[in-house]
Amino acid sequence: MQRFLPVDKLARPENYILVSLDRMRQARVDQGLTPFNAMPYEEDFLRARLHGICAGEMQAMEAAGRTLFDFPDAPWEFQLDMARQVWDESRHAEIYMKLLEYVGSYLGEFPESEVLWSCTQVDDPACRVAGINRGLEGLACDVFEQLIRLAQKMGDPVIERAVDYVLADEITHVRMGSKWMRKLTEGDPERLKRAQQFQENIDNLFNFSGGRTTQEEAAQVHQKLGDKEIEFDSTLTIAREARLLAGFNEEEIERLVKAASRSAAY
Amino acid sequence: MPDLGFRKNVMGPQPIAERTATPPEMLEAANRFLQLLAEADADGLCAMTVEQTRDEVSRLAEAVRQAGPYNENRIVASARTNRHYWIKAELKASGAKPFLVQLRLGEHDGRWKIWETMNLTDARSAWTR
Repeated sequence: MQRFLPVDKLARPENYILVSLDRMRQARVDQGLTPFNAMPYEEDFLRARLHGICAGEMQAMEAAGRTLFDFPDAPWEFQLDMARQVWDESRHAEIYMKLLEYVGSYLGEFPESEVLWSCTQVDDPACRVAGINRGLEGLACDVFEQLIRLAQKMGDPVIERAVDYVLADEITHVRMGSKWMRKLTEGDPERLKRAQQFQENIDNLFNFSGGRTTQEEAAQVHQKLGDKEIEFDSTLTIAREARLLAGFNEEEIERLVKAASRSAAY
Repeated sequence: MPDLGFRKNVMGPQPIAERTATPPEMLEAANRFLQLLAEADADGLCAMTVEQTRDEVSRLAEAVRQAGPYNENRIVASARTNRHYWIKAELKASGAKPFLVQLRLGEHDGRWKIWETMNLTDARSAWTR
């Protein structure tokens, strides 16, 4: 079996629509929308966001499995952690498939992009866990924290609790990433730097050109979700508390916040 | 996932929203486009396409002309980005290699038009760069 699987070899059933991120963004621009993912003020936000997460959970499951397979010489405890993560992500994918049904959607209503899998394209396990577990799973903490607050505003305990249960796992995945990034690079500061740099590139890829901000600073916009009308964040926020629980330090979070606002100036 | 059957008979949370219906006019336009594509009718195809995509569609028609002719088509999958729809379809004919194509349709001046196309015939996936 091939190691370091490229993006276009990720298998999907025939009846799935796969679209590259560039094309997906163009489709949004052609409709007069921002090029990024559906934003909280959009009509389709909840469905599209849950769908994106569900596809992300599947790719995260595949990524953890591939990390296990790609690095057979990694420590046994590392492999056990990756196997554990495959199990977690598969449960998450099932939870989100049910949530999709709950909000009147289904897997396949929206296309799937390659962007998360493209973050696995690195041949050092330290970089891999820095990028996937700290970069992407850190982003998941932000996305899930916002969804929980949205569900609280909607008065919807189903979404609130389901996402909270998944968030609890994601926090452990980030902690695993931090542990292995440090352990695998012990005594090799250059390698640690490369891993941190890889994660930073991923953080930058997902800061939406400055479209992100903190929960406290997010502008509130009016939106309609089903039969409920609420005021909510106009953009994706950075979940300081969840990130602290996940083991990010204040300095790292501050760097992320600053990077987001720096991009806004461009 | 196991089918839970008629949801209203199932205890527990019920869906809070209905599924978004696929516009029949969009499917009609997609089928018309596929029919014209099977015939490699470049003029007919371009008439259904937004201006900036016409060159791309002419190239697609030429590729079909060289690989075909085709007399059968089927929609394999569909998805949407907001109000634009992605359609994956296959053209078939006995003795010809199946032709796989992915389209994006969106409303333009009150009509469903083609905004982009991808020839997936020899690609490993639509993510191929």
